[in-house]
Parts: sequence; structure tokens; C-alpha cells
Amino acid sequence: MKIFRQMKRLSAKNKPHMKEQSVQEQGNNEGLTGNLEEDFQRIKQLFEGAADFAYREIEINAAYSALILYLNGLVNVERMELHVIHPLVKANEKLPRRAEITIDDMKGILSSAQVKQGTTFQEVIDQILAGGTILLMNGSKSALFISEQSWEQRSVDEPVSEAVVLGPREGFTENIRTNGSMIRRRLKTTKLKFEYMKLGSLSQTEVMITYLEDIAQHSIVEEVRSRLNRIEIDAIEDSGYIVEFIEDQPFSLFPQVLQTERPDRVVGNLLEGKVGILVANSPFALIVPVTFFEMMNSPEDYYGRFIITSFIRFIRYLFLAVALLFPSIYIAVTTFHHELLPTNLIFSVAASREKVPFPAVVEALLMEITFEALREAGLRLPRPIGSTVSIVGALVVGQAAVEAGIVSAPLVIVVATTGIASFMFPSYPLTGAIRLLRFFMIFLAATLGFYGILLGIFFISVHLVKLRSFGVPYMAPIAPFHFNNLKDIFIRAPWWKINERPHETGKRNLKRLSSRKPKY
Amino acid sequence: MYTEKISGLQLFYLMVGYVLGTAIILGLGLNSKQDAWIFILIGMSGSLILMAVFTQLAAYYPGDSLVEMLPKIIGKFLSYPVILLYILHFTYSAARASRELGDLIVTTILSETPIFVVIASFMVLMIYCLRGGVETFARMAEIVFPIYIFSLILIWILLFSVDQFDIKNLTPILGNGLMPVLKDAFPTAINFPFGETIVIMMLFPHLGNSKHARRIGMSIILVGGLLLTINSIMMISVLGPEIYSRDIFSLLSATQMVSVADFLERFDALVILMMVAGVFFKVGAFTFAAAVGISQLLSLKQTRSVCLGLGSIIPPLSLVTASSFVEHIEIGFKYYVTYVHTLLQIILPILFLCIAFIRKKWGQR
Repeated sequence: MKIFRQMKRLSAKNKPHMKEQSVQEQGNNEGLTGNLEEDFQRIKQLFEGAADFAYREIEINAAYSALILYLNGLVNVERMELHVIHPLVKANEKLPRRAEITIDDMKGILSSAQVKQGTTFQEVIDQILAGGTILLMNGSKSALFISEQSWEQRSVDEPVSEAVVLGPREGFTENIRTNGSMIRRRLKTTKLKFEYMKLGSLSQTEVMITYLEDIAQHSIVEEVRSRLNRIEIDAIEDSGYIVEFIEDQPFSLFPQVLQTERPDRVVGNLLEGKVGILVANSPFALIVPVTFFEMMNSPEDYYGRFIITSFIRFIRYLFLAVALLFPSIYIAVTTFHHELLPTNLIFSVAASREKVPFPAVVEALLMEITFEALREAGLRLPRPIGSTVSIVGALVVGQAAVEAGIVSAPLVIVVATTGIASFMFPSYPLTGAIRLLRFFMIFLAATLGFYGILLGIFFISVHLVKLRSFGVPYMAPIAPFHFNNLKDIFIRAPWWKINERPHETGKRNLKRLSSRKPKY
Repeated sequence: MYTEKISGLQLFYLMVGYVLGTAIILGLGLNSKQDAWIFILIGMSGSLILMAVFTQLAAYYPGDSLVEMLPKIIGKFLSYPVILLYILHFTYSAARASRELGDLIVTTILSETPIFVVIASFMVLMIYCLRGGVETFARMAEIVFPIYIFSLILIWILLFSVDQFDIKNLTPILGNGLMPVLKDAFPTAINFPFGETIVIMMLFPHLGNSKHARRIGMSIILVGGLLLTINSIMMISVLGPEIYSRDIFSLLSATQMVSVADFLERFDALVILMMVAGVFFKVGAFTFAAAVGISQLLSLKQTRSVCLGLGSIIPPLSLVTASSFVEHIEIGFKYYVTYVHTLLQIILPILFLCIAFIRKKWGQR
């Protein structure tokens, strides 16, 4: 990592004017002149070549004329006609009979819900770009910003990447306000805070930091704020951009930020003292800080019965080991330690491997890579042909390859089980880490057998205990150990027993329950 | 200076794992045959006194590691050779532990792999861990130790199913009287593995709440000693005193006899896991102590590059010191544990405590 830093420093030295060269909106901090024609020409010049820029002139009376500016497609034209243009056209009758009309008089005429006032060119331009409707009037040094924005958007839908059987079905959309409202609906308290900021010099993407006051720690909120403020990039297209900027250890395979589509998951985490980050145009909210074990929990865990849930969690951790280790154990056993298997089993494995021309490693790598390819192809293919891939995958790669004697049947079982296991984790980025580490383990098993697998597990554990997410140890509450927080890690205790927030993030206000479970 | 803190529980896990480390696999008190467990108990009681010496020294010089307190006790010039001795001791002990791991792996599961590859790959892991500082090492202990103990207890339970299991193997208890065992136990039983807990003095300054230092130290010896005692009783019951005293890897031999319903057998993997975990604690603590010692002796600002240097010395060192494993064990138990350990882990610490005690008394006047 040091070497990257040095390279960065060197490249920065060679291009000293880099910062000045980057494309940015020019400063327009002067105020409006009050001369309608002059102001309009200046704004029009800036929007030259932008076909979606629209304007309409309205004469209020002989002396005064107003000008409406907006961007086509970002404004609800029907509502604008009703609440802005119609009142203005009829204004002459309502306005006081005096010589001077000010922009303040206009406020009384417009029937829109949100009307603000601004005085500089920069404000006017920002408002137009954000989808506002701008009212300029001659003789007035300030402009009115009318908020009638609306655009085509996806409706609230079931989250695709985090489907549940029990629990709410709504997922975030690309509209940051809708997303904010979904959180607000679940936490009707003034303690819930939303902080706005804009990131990206060109995209001016709205970003919201959300947290619960009195529960989230100041230091973490402050750290989130400062890390976000340090981002200098031209455009942010998705919250995934931000993840890479704010992670403690971007070179780690393990995600240190939780990406989720589910508002209930965000709320659950806010209650544990975490900080959420909503990003405009992205249906994925970010949650920091996060630990490894939280990545392994599904929101459904909290809606189902706790005993069943605890069992499912056990299965999940078991298959975490399977997803990571099964192919490498197969390789280690077939190449190094035949004696570790019971005699009958090793005979049947050996018999099926008899015809196979490759060593077990090559065989396993071949199948694993094919499986990864199938997975990726299945994702990219248009849905109607998607089933073709599964048929080709199952028949050609599975059965035909075994019958042709290219791979052995037990290996197909191993790869298939591993493949299923790797889809069990509730966090998609974590799946990627496990899938990649599987190849690392295969390599170790092929060179050092069972000892290599052990070393690999130790390596991964060392890496995990080293990791931190916004200063919180990644393996908390196992390392460092905290007994009270074990209630929601490998098992899910009944709600009336989880009486404390996680120690690492919620220590400002540990108590969750005020009473014990009533007895019936 | 010591910004990284570890908790009492972490230190406890780390050091119990360290005490069990290689001792649980190699078997202790081989000459005492069926009285090996008494041998261990004697060693444990002696080491409780020794641990009191260590913790008292740490209490006299709070916040100082062994290397830092030595100049204050015996003066700057006299301390240099002594510190050097300790650093050499730690380094060589780390090398010994990794050699034991290498030989176990090569004789059991990887018969065609060069032993150097086994030791070197383990050292790479160790350096990666220690470069994360003592915090990373201590957190690793929190993850590894529960698994370690779980495997150990699982093996014990499985040993009951062995046909040859016979608790009568322990008799006659003290058939030749107490004296032969006592003679055998002093000072070997104290020195290995309990006396090696002297590295705890390099870890004490990192302890978050140093008030509990003595309690933690004592419980490390007690828990570690009791686990070793139970283990040796189980081994002798399964293997019989004769095999126990001749076998190099007694835990492994015992585990290989387990066969439940003719299907659940070959639990070697668990022993290998325990060995890797135990040596992880042992090599880790020794290498860490040596690295911190070197950096404090030379007043370096960080220990990370020292760890790297030590990591490249230890694998070759572990191999050149003995040509075969039998020779390695012989050098270890006949000479190293008997003489060097006695000097560095018993005589010198007690001497330091006396000097420190006198200094404190006279200093106050």
C-alpha cells in the first residue's frame, strides 16, 4: 500500500495543475442585477446548447413582466401551470393598485407549497439544475424558487438482493426523498436526524447522513462526515462509489460497509447506534460501522421465531465453512491424506477418479471457474434465455463431463454444494470475498494439504481481527470479546432478552428494554 | 509508549494457550512414567511461586517490560549482556517450538514435504500476525483459544471410547516413593512449560488493568497446569506408562486409537489443529518478546521490521541447531531446559527480585 501512496505522490508532482484543470461549474456568486433582460441573457448563455432548458415570459401589467425558468422533464408541468402560471396570469386583478410591485407580492399569489427566495446567479442555476422553477421579475434583485419538481421514477418495489419470507417487502428506490421517508415512517422521533450534503463536482449528488441522536456516538458521526467531505470526484453514480472512498482498508476483500436495499435493516442498525448514508439515484443505503457477524445476519432473523432462527444461523455459519473450504478439503484428502477418510468412502472416491486424466487441483479449478462463469452468464443473460444457461450448466458441465470421464462425480457434488452454499449469505459483497478466498484455499490445499488449509484459515482470521470498520473491530464481539453481545451473534436470543445495544457502537445508551417480558 | 492495550481475558487465553502449546503434544515427565501427572502438579506448584516473583517484579516497576526494568535493577552496563541472553533465549525458544511443529507435520501428514517449507510458511503467518501488533495477536488468541480447548475436551471424551482405556494404568501411584519424582521434577517440571511464562513480563505493560496482573498470572499457571495434569492422566490411561514414556507425540498416538462405531476415526486432524494453534501462541509470544526486547534494547521506534528480521532468522535457526528430531529433543530436555532455563527463568528472576526489593527499601530511606 505504501507503494501506491508513493506512486500517487509522484503522479501528483508531475501534474501540478491537475486540480485547476478539472471541469467544474464556474463561480457565479454575483447577485442578480434587477434588470430582467440582462439577467436572463446571462443565464440563457450558461444553458446554451441545453435543449431541455425552458422559459416563459408572463406580463403582469404594462410595467412589470415576469419570467419563469425551468428544465423540461424535471418539473411537473401540470402542477406548474396550475400553481404558478395560472395565478400569475390572473395576477393583475389581485395585486394592489399601486405603481410598484415587488417580488414579495408574488409570494402571496403563488399557491405552491414550497417557495424560497434567493439573490445570486449561483443559487438560481443550482435551483434550475435541481428541478426547481425559478421566477424572475424585472426591477427585483431577488428570485423566487418554486419547488414543483417531479420526474419519472421506479415505484417502491420488493428488494431483489435481500428477499425475505417474513417481514416488510418494500425496498429503497432511486429517489432519496422516498428513501428518507421510508426511514422516517419507522422512527417517528425528533431524535432521527438527516444531514444533507452534496458530493461530486459535476453530479452534485445529494447524500444524506442519518443517525439517531443520543444513541450514535459523536465520534463516529463526525468521522463519517469528515470522510464524506474528503471525497473529491466529478460524479457519484451509486453508493458503491462512496464505499471505496470511506472504507478503512479498501484493499481488503471483506466489505467494511454494509450495503442494503431494505429500510427496515437501516432502521434496525440505526437503533444499534450506527450511521446510515443515503445516496441519491441509488437504491442501496450504506451502514457504518459494521462487523463481520452483522454481515451474516439477515433482517428476517428478527421477524421469525428465535429458536428456528438460531438453527438457521447455525446452518449459515456451517455453510460459510463449506463455501470456503469444501473444494480445498476435497483436494487435500484426495492428494495428501487418503487415510483421513473411512475406507469405504475412499474406495468409491478413488474409483470415480480412476478415469480422470487431471490431478485433483486442476479438476477442481476447472469446475470452480466454470461454475463462476455460469453464475456470471446467468446474471447477464436476458431473463427468457436464462433457463438455457441452467440447462447447459446442469447437463453439459455436470452430467456429460462426468460421463466423458473429464471430471469425477464427487467433485461435481463438491462444486455444486459449494455453489449453493455461497448464495446463503445475506450480504452480497461478503459472498464475493468468500468466493475469491476459495481459490486461495484451493491453492494452499494443493501445495500443503491439510496443513495448508489450517494456515489459510489462520491467515484469514489474522486479517479479520486486524480489520476495523470506522474504528470498530471487525470481529467484535468475539475479538475483542464481549459476553453480553453474544445474544445476537451465533444465536438470536428472544427479543426480551436482548436488553443491550452492541457495546462497540451503542455504548452511549446501552439500555434497549425498559421492562422484562410480562408473564402470562 | 504502550498505546496498544490488551484485556485480562486476552492475556489469559494467550498465556494458557502458550503454556499448553507444545507441552500437551510432547508429553511431560516421561521419566516418571505413571507418576507423570504428579510430576506436572509439582511443577505447577513450584511455578506458582515463580509467577509470584514475576508479578512482584512487574509491580515494583509498573509499566516496564523485563528489558526496560533490568537497567533499573542491575545498572545499565551489567544489564546489556543479560538482556542479550534473554533475547537469545526467546529467539531460540521460538525456533525450537517451530521445529517441533515442523517435525510433527512432516512425520504425520506431509511426509514428502521439506520441513523448511512447513516452518517457513508458518513463520510467514506469524510475521503477518505480529506486524499487526500485540492487539491483533491477542484478538487471535480470543478466536483460536476456545476452538483449542473445545478440540482438547472433545479428544478427551473420545479417548473414553478406546478399548485399552484403563485408569488402573496409573497404579502404583508413587510406587518408588516421592523422592524419584521430586528429583526428576526439580527443576525440569518448573522450567518447561511453566517457567517459560517469563515472556508474560514482556506483555504486562500492555495489560489494560495492571491491578489484576497477579490474579491473571496465577490463574494462567493453575488452569494450564490442571489441563496438562488431566491430559497426562488421560494419556497414561490410554497408552500405558511404558508407551507414554517412549512416545514423542503421545497425544497423537492416543488420538489415533480412537474409533467410534468403526466410522468416526482418524481424529488426527484435531491434534494437528491443536499443534498449529499451540505453536501459534508459543512462537508468537516468543517472537514478540524477542522483537520487543531488541527494539527496546536498541531504542528503536517500532518493532514491525524487527519481527520481519526475526522471522527470517528463526526458520533456519530451528533447523541448524539439531540434525534430527531425536537430537532436538535431547538437546532440549537434557541441556537447554535443565541448565539454561534454570538460569534464566528461576535463578536470575529471583536474584532480580532480591535486588529490586533491597533497592526499593533503601531507596525509600
